[in-house]
Amino acid sequence: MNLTVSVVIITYARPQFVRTCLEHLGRLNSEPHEIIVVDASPDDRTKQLITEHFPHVRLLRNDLGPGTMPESRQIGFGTATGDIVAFIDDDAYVDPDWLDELRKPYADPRVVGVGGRASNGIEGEETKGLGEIGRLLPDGRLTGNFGANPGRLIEVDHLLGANMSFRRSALAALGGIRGNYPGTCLCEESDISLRLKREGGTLVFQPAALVRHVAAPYTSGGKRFDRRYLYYARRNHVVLLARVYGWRDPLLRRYALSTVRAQKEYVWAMRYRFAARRPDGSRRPFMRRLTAPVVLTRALAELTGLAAGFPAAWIARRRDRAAAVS
Amino acid sequence: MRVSAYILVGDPNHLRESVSSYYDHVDRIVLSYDETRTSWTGTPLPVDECLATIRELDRDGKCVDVPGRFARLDENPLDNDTFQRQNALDAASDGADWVIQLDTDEVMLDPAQFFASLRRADATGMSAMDYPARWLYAQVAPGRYLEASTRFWRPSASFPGPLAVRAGTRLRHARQTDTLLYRVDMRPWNTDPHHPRDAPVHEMIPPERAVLHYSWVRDHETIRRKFGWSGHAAHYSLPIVYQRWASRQRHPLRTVLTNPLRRRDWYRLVSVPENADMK
Repeated sequence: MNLTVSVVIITYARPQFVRTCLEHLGRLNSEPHEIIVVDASPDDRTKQLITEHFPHVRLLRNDLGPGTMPESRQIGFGTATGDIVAFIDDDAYVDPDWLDELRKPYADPRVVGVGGRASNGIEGEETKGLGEIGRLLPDGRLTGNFGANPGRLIEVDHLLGANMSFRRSALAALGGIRGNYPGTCLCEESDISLRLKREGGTLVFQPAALVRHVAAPYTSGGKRFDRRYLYYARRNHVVLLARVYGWRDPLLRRYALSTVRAQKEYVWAMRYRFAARRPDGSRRPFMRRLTAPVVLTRALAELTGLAAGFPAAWIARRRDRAAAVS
Repeated sequence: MRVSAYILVGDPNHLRESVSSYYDHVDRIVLSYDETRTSWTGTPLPVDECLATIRELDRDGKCVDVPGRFARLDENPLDNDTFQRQNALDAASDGADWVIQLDTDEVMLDPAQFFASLRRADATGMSAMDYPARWLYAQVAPGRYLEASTRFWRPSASFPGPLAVRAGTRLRHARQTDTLLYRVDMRPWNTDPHHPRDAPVHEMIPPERAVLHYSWVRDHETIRRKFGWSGHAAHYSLPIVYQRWASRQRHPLRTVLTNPLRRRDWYRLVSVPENADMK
């Protein structure tokens, strides 16, 4: 049976990347069942692009604005009609055999989600973190390493939002994609994966389904890995664990402890920057030493995010119950 | 998933419990021993006694003899260790996906858990599985042991090398290999002081499901002989090693309570079900 695939691209004010993304989708060896773009941009540039150059693409609107990626995903998912719904980022460009490779593992009926590899153009990424691709560790942390290439299909715990797909029926049975992951929106893709895994589904990483991820700049404010990012990373992670596994699960407690332990790195970094001499023996400028404690603001961002995650999780769980989404 | 095992035959202590713990879960067991019944350091080994025990419990005919010449006295004993293991591993790899490398003084407390972890390691594409072994130092009373721990008496795993490797693996040193490791531990964070603090832990199991390593759980005469045949004989044969062991066995409570005062060699007192009660 040849399963049909709907491709959903969510975007916010990056029409130049959407154009390239759609051009690559046009070069696929097998055509997808449909392509859906969900646009949350404050302007009409993406709408204009699609209307003029890609009339076969379905354009949907998310009026909630920036920082609502999960809501955009749900809008796309709710409209998609393919057996499989694949999500790619607007700055992720597919290889010609991406769709065929992504579809193959679904021949196994236990498989409910398939993620592909994202090549970021970083030297050595093919082998970096080979043993820790897409895992939920016992201390509650999630590993990424989706640029690594294990050379074969492997089971994972979660998938990368830039290149992931799900069996539509399995995700629909859980109530679809959940929102309430604000900010730079980390964790919403993991939420989908962990819920499916919790229900006994199998998720696999298919390295042959490749996208080239060019990591476009954020258009909704901030930079990658800035303090805002660190805050939301911790906050949303707490929300994720509490929503998927509940308050009593030890993962949540262990994650909080892991986060606190991890802050030692910043203290060491500050001590290092405070030293009068550099490792090569040269003298460190006085101003550099004076500003050494600034690095601790990163720890502050992380710990504040951790603390903020608990009330946020309480609210999110109440909303889930009200919406009957599991 | 086809699983084989290999055994280095030569130590009768806990041999029966060790092999029985996983016998039903493997397809084949390779028995590796020196043809001259000699250890890596040239001392005699009770190989025939061990073989007789194995023949008794091999009800399905899974065990295969693969003797060889491993007592190369001009070589370092640990190199002989690696050489014999590699030879056995190559023989066990034939027709298998994974090979268990458990010593005969190591007993799986919960084989179902061990093989469930191995299936996860296989599914996630790993090449070897580190599984925690609880290192028993001495028996102090029936069912009571001194076990290696952290300074403040928390369980501490030891990983002498992966206890399961993919067929065809090349060993670097004894059981150790340079390959992708699936690491199971007894806490969410690494508990082995010989590994980096941030060594990843992929799966956590309770201590009751670990492997028990009856490493130095012997009577006085046997422990002295073990110090002679071990690959670590050069260190173990120092008089202080035996003196400490004997003293700690005689004064277990003092040994445990003085943990915080020592820089290493920390222990806790544990009860372990007698062999008949093991799963």
